[in-house]
Amino acid sequence: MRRSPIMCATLALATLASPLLPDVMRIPVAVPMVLFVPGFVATKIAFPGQPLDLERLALAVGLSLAMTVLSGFGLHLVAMLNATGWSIAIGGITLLLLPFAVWSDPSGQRLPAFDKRQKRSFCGAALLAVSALVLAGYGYLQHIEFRFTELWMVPAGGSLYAVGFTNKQQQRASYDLDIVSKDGVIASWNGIALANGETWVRVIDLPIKPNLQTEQRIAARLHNRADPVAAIEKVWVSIPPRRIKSPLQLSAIGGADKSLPQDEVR
Amino acid sequence: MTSFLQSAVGIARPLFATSTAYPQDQADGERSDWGWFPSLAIWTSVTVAAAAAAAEANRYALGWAAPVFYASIALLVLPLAGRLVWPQTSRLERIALLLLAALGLFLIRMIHEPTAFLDHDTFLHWATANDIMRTGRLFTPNPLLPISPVYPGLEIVATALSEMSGLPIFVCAQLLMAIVRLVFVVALFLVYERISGSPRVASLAVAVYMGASSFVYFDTMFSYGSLAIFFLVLALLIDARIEQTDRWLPVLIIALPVLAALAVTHHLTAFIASLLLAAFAAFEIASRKSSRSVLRIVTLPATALLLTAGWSAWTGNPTESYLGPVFDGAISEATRLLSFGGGRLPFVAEDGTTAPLWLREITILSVLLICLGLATSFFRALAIAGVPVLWARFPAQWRELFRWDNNRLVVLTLVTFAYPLSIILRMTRAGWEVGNRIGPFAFLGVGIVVAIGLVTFWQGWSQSRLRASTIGAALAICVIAGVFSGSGNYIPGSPGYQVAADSSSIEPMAISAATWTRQWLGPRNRFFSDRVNRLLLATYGGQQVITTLYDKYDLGAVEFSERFGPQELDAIRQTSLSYFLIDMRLAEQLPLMGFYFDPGPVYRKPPDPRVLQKFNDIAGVNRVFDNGYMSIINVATLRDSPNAP
Repeated sequence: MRRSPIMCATLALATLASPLLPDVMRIPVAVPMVLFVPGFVATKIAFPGQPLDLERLALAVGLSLAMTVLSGFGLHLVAMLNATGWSIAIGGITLLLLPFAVWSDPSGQRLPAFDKRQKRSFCGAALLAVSALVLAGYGYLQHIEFRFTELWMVPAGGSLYAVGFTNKQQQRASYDLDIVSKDGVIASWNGIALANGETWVRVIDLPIKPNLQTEQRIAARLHNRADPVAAIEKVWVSIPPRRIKSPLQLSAIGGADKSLPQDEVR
Repeated sequence: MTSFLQSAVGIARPLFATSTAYPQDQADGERSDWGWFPSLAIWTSVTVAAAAAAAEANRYALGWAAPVFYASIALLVLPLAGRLVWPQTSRLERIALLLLAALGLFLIRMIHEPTAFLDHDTFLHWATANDIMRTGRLFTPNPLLPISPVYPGLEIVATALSEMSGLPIFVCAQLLMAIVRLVFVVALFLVYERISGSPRVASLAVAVYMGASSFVYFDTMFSYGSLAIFFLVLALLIDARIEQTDRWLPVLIIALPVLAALAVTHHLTAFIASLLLAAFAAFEIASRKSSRSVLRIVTLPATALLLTAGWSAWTGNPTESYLGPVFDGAISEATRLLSFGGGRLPFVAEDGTTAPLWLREITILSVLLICLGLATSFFRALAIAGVPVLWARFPAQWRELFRWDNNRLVVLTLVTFAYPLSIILRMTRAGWEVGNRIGPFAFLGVGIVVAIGLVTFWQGWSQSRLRASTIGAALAICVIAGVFSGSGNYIPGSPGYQVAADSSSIEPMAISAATWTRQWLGPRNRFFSDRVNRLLLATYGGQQVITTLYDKYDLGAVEFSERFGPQELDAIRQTSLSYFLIDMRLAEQLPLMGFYFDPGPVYRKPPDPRVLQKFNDIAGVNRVFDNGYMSIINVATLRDSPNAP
């Protein structure tokens, strides 16, 4: 039991330094410090000299969680709800509490030891339970009901647009992509072969005419070569017609089709 | 007439006749070993593996999958409960078996959600946790659940764990819930043990509590209620413990942080904890037998009430606006049900699907078993608490009834009245959720009262293994019914996508679409979508979703309107909406939960697909994304255009 205060102090110091530790080292420090250690030290102040029994164990976990919650409000006030803030708060609280803790003699009730057969039982049980979870996780990830291709066309500045698609058909597929307006085909790519999960992207300059009084619609149509008749996905950009609000505005520009700045068109 | 009454009362005599002492726990003090624990650990893991295999089979819609899944739960609980009933089981073994049961049931829940969040409520809190990690501050508005950021206890702990360890939030959430669940079971056992004075009663009480509808799934998901119910039980344990001490230090160091954390973690649980502590104090004062000063008695409940009410008031009483309509609807519908005005059809989902007959029978049987347990235990529990309700000692004056030794047991016995209330509320559409929420609190009383009946009446001094097995089977039935009635029959995992069915609607395609928005549109765009896709947009996509709860605008009416006119445009402008995510699959089925967007309209048939395609012909509306099932519509140009129709 005399090792307990040293363990707690070591963990608290490690917590203070945890932002500098590699990820693998941070886990064994963070988990006990958030879930147990501060509460454990606090129970040693509240119930001085008493050995750790089941009741104090439960209180230690609950108190650690409660102290973490309350520390969160403190960190919010100083805008430090991040890894550094948490390390200072949890490590600092534990170090502040440690000098007031009264540690008991190691004469508490001991649990009966497991024999070899019992240990084997627990190992087998743990292995089986982990296998069950792995099976559940693998089954969940493998269960893909929908096979699809994602197509998109998003602004990339000015009249530039990013057109792309991702194959999620769970198999290799070959595609044809057309960019069309009502005037005809603007651009076309044929036989784009993508593996499952692979993405194809191009940035293209769309021929958007400014200040038209009719809607301009430029669409991207994606065809799967396995079914070339139907466009399996379609996205588009629609530029609404530019309407003249009043005769005064019309005369002010002399009736001409004056070009608007690019961002206004968009 | 008199003889009839005498006969009638005579029949009821067993309910009032009992010894006020428990049959002695024969194992205590004689032996302290692990007993059957190692063997049952292997058995439990076998049942968990069987449940995982059944859940996997259910994804392929195999008919035997669901019965095997529930049978696995029954086989997990049956031997553990049978062993707990057995009088010779040691205290140590009882605690180990309870932990084993809790861990086994937790693993079965993890089978449902093995690699990522799937349950509806977990997304609400994941969004708040994401906001805390993104901004480094609390209280960022969460449109999915506006009350969540002002009760951020759960998210604070999860983000602390994630920030400090570098683990993903999902892993931290599961780890946190596992630890909380295990310590919750231990704490509940200790509370019951302190109240009853018997490890056997306490262990059986926890086993009965596992039959609560929220125990296996709802109270272990990443939701603020899961952490709060743990704090509540811890507060009860602290209350029982500090009764024995005159020192104020434990109150200051132990009770105050726990009560404060509870007050900022979950509104309803904090209020119920305050009421329970207040009731304990009131009954202690009323019994006039306490040796403690009134100040000592009222300190804890007064602190709990002050913290809970204070936090609620400081945050602008969000509980009232959040829970008020829920309770109003529940009460009015329950009143209608009780006056035979009709209610929800039990076991029938909102889309018309009915639960299997065997599952319905088990659920009804479970209610009957618990009612039977309460009927045979209620007066026994009061008698053990010191209330003179026994047949032979019934007082001549009614005032004598108000004398008891164990105020906590009296209060928990009275809490059992909430059980029938929760059942009635479950029969209503609006009150189902309230009934489900009341369940864990009602079972705090049901657990110990039924356990007292099991020990003093049903098992008693008997060494019969058959009797112990029968009681174990009854407890297993209660747990299965609890799992089913708390979460419906989609727990083993759904064979396929279902519309507005929460976890059964969440699949890789919708997740991919939401993730795409973050990558190609950037976060924090104002989005609208259906009940499930908006969860994914807010979490995987990091988007600012519009909800009726937060924005007070029902954009579902816009999405489902037959035409797009000035009214719809005005709604888009009022909400500053930029994007619709339209899922064409909504037109294929009625919603399992009863609504596509928010509770309100009742749907008789799915929407016409043409309704969802009405944006296609509107100038200024861009379709930026399409995957054949779902599309994302940009309405920002239309919204900002003065020339829009």
